[in-house]
Amino acid sequence: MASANGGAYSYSLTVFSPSGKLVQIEHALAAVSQGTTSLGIKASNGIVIATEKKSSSILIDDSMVDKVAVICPNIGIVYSGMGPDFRILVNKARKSAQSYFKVYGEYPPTRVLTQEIATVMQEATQSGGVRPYGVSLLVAGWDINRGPTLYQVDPSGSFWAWKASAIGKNMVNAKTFLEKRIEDAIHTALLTLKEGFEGQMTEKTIEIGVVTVPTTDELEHAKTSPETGRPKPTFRKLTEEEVRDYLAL
Amino acid sequence: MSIMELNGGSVIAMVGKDCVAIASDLRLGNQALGLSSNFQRIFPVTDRIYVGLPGLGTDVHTLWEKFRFRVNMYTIKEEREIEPETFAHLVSSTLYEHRFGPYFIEPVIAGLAKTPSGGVKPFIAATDLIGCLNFAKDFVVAGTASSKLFGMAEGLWEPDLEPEDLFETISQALMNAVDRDAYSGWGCVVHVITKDKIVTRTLKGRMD
Amino acid sequence: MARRYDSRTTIFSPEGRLYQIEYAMEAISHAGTVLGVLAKDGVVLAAEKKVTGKLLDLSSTKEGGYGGSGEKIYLLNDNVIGGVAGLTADANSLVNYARTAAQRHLLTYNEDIPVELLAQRLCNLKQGYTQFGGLRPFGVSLLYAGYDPHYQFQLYHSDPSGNYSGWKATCIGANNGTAQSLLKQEYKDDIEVKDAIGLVLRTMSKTMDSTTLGSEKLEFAVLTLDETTKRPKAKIYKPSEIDALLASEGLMKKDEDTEMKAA
Repeated sequence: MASANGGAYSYSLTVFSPSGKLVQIEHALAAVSQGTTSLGIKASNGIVIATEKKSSSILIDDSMVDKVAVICPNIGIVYSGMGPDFRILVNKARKSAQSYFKVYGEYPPTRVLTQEIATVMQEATQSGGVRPYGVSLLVAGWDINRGPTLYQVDPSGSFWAWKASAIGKNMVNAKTFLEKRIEDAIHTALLTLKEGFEGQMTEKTIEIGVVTVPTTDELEHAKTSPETGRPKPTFRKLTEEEVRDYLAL
Repeated sequence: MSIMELNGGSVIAMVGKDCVAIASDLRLGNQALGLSSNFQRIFPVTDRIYVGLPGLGTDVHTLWEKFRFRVNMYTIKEEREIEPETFAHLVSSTLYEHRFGPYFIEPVIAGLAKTPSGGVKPFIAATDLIGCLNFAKDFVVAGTASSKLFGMAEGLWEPDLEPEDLFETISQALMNAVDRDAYSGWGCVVHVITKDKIVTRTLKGRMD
Repeated sequence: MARRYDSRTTIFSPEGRLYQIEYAMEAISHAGTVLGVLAKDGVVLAAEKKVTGKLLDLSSTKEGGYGGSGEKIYLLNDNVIGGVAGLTADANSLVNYARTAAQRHLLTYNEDIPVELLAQRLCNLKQGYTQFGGLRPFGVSLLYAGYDPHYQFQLYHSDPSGNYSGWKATCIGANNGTAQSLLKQEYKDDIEVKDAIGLVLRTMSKTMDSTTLGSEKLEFAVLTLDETTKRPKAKIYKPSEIDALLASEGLMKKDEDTEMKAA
C-alpha cells in the first residue's frame, strides 16, 4: 500500500508527520469507516445501540455472530471496524469491569469503564511495535451517578458523550439523520439503520442492545436478583424474537 | 504478647435512627506503659464517612494515608464522593492485598449512605486485619477492649435511637468497656453523623 | 534527507534537530487555545473547546464532581488546575499521571505537591519519551495554574520536549501568537483576579476561530485562596456558570448554528 501521499509513514509505527498528524490513527479511522454502520441513541428512560450484521455466506450460523457485547450487567458495547480487534477490547473491558468489582463490590460507572477502554486504545498509539486498534466503539450504560450515558471511543483513545451517534460506513448520513429526529429510540435506531442498508433488514441481519433505567422503587428494593444473587442487569441484548417484533411495527 | 495489643486502643460504631456514631479511646501505649492520651485513630473519609483504625500505632498512620490516597484518586477520577459501602469494599480489598504480611489493624467504618430516593441510610461495617467484611445492622466493635465492648453494646443498644440518645449509648458503652481494659482508655472521642451535621465530642475518662 | 531521522524521537538529525518533537508541536499549534493569567490573588484559566455539535451530550453529573465538561480543563490536585492543548487521548494519560504523582507526594510528605514540582514530574516523563524507548512523544502542551504556600500562586507551561517555564500570562494552541501579543499589551503586574477574568475572556473572544462565545465552546476555571481556611480553592465552572459569567462581562454573543466536527 505504498501511496504517494505520506505513504512512507505507514510503514513505521504511530509517529507524527510534518503536519503534526498521527497518520496511523487516521488510517485506523479509515478502517473504521469501511466497517458496517453502528449507532446509539440515548433516550430519557434508556439507551439503544444497534448494528448491522451481515454474513458473507448463507452457510454462516447468524445466531453465533455477536457484534453487540455485554461487558457487565450495566454496560454494553458495539463497534464498527475490525472484528478481531473488537474481540480483544471486549476481553480487556470485561476483565477491567471485574477487577473494578473486586475492589469496590460494584460494577464501574459507564464513564469510568469508557475511560479504561480509551486508555488501552491510547496506549496502542504510543507503545513500541503495535498499531492502533482498528475500531470505534459505542459504549452504552447506566449508573446511579450519571444515569444512562452513551460514549464513543475512537482509535486514538479520545472519547465523547453523545445524545446519539453513528460510526462506520454510513456514519455521516446516519448522523445527519439522527440530528433531525430523536423520538422513540428503538424505532429511530431501526429507521437510521435502514438508511443505506443493503439488502433485507431482518432479525438475522441486525443486533440491538438496550439500557433500561431502573425505577426508584427497583433501586430501593431489588439490588440483586433473588435467583442469581447477582446485580440486576440494566443492559441486555434483544433476542431475535424481540427484534422481529420491533421490525414488524 | 500479640502485636495487635502492643499499643492498645478500641473503636466502636453504632447505628441509630437516620444517624450513626463512631467512637474510640485516646490512649497510645507500649504494653502497660501509657505514652499518649490524645492519639487519633478515627479519621474523616468524606463529609459522611468516618473510619476507625484500632491496632498497631504505626499502621494506623500508614493505613490511613493509604486510604486517603485511594479515596482521593477515586473522587477525582469518578467525579463523585465514595459511598460507605463502596469504601468498605475498598478497605477490605486494600487489606487483603497484604494477606500474608498484613497491617495489624481491624478497621471500623461508619457513615450515611445516599438512597436512590434522596434520603440517607445508616451504614456500619468492620473487618478483620486481612479484610474479611462484617456488615452489621446494630453495632460493631474492635480493638483490645472488643470483648468488653460487645458486652456493653449488647446490653445498652436498642433500635432507632435519636442522635442524642445514640451519643449517650455509645459513650456509656465505650467508657465502661475501656475502664475494664488495661490497654484502652485515657479519654474518648465520639462522632455522631446525621444528615446535616457531624457532632464531635471529647470525653474525659479515668487516667489509670 | 529528513526522512531518515524524522520518525524517531531518539535520533538527532545532522543539524541537531529532533523532528518528532517539532512535528508534535505542530499538532499542538492547531489545537484548541488554552490561556492562563496569573493575578495577585489567584490564577485564571480558559480554554477553547473544539468538539461541538448538536448530538453531543453536555449533561453532567447529577451532583458532586468538580465542574467543567472535561475536555480541556482538569483538576490535577486540590491546589493545581491543568489546561491541555493537543491530542486529547494523550492528555488523558498525562492528567492521570499528574493526579497519581500529586497523591504520591501527599502520601510521602503529607502536604500538597508544590506546583513547580508537579510540572517537573510531568516534564521528566515527557523528556523520557524524547531520549529512550523509541516511542513517539506526547502531543500535548499543558498550562498549570496552582498554589503552594512557598511561592504562592503560579502559572507554568510545559511542551512535548519536556521544557517548562513560569509565566505571568501565556497561551498555548491555535492563535497563541495573537493572544500572547494581546496579553503583553494588556497585562499589569498587580492585576487582581476579577480583572484577570475580564482580560482572559476578552483575549479569548478575540483569538477564537468562531464568532460565538458560550459554554458550548469555552471552558473556564479560577484558582483562589479560601478566605476562612486559607486553603487553595479550585473552581472549574459548569456550563451554566460560564454563560452567566459571559453575560455579566457583556461578552455573550448571539448563538449561531455551530457545525459538527467529529475531530
